[in-house]
Amino acid sequence: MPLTSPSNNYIVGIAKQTNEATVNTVEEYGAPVFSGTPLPVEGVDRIAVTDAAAIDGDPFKLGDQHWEAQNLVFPAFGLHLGRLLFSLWPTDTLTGSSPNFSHAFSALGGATTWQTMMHTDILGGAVEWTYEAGQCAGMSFSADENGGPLRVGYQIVGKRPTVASYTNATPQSTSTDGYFTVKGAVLKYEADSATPATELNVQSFNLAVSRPVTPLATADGQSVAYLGIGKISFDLTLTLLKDDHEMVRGAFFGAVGGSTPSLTIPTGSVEINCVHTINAGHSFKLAIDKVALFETPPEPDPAASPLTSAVTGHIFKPASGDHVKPTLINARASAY
Amino acid sequence: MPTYLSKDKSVQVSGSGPNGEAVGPIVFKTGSYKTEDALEVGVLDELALLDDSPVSFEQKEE
Repeated sequence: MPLTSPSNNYIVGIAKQTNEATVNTVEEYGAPVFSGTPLPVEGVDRIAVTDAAAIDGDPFKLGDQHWEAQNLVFPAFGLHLGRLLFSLWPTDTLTGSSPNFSHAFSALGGATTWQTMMHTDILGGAVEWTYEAGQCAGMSFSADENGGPLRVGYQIVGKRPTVASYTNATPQSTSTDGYFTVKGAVLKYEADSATPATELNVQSFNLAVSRPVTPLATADGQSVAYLGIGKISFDLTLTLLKDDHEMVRGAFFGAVGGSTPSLTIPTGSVEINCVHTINAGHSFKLAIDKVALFETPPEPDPAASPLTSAVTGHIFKPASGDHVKPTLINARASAY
Repeated sequence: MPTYLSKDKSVQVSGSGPNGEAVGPIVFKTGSYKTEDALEVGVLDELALLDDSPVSFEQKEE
């Protein structure tokens, strides 16, 4: 009686390319996933011509072969996270000394380096896949009251998938290496000040930084040779255990103490901090210096469920630097 | 030649060129760094303009 193959044996690797043409054959970092994988993508259509028989025409390939990973979700590992961040924030400024090096990521919206991704085939691992020349299409960061690792969503679109062998990173990240988590860390926000204050009522949050990457086929190309880079956009949502009226009044009345309709948008700030489960000196911070926090007025519930509020953050360009500023403190002694 | 200062000798910078070329790491071993490399200048110029940057301009010749 044959046994089915399980689908759990999976590590996905990533490595920064020195330029578009030079594809890596060695992982810089390999990490397990909560979900997702890079996938080869291609379109197929049918030749739509009139025919004596009322049957669809024969299929043909569109010539748009490329690869994408739209639903990768990683735990936030200490070293691996920096490689992901650098693929969207393309400047890393390192300061500090062993064992705690601070990586401040900046230049969001600037040109970003090319990435190679790789993984073994889940079916036994004998076939190795290499995904060439990818450009990060976005990252997300989320956590909730259930704890565990900060969940890092990663989207990437690239040019050519190949079956090609590669060398694993040594060591690859595992869940025993520890991870960044919000449990035990400090979450801050303020509805109308650039200096956020520590708050204890954040139940969950999701911050997404998206940059659409569009694979562009050409008339004669058999696979995609161009990637179109779109504009950066942001999506911030917070779920708060409601304890005041600041945001709901600010959103509609223009000030946290407002009482009449206003077009003024009050701006505040948000700071998400994570601690590392093993290395006390390591941390991860996401700072949003200027954001309008708009709360939807909560609705009553006869079931007496806890009163929570859904807050949407509309992120502004701050006085200096990026809309979202990641700072990672880990053991990597060189800039990413 | 453009020269950049760092707040201390631990500063390193990695960046990206306009076509996605990897730039650096640029190591400020002595607290200052001189370069005529256009890719490095592009990365360091942008960084030095930030308010809270550990990298600053010493001089810049066009």
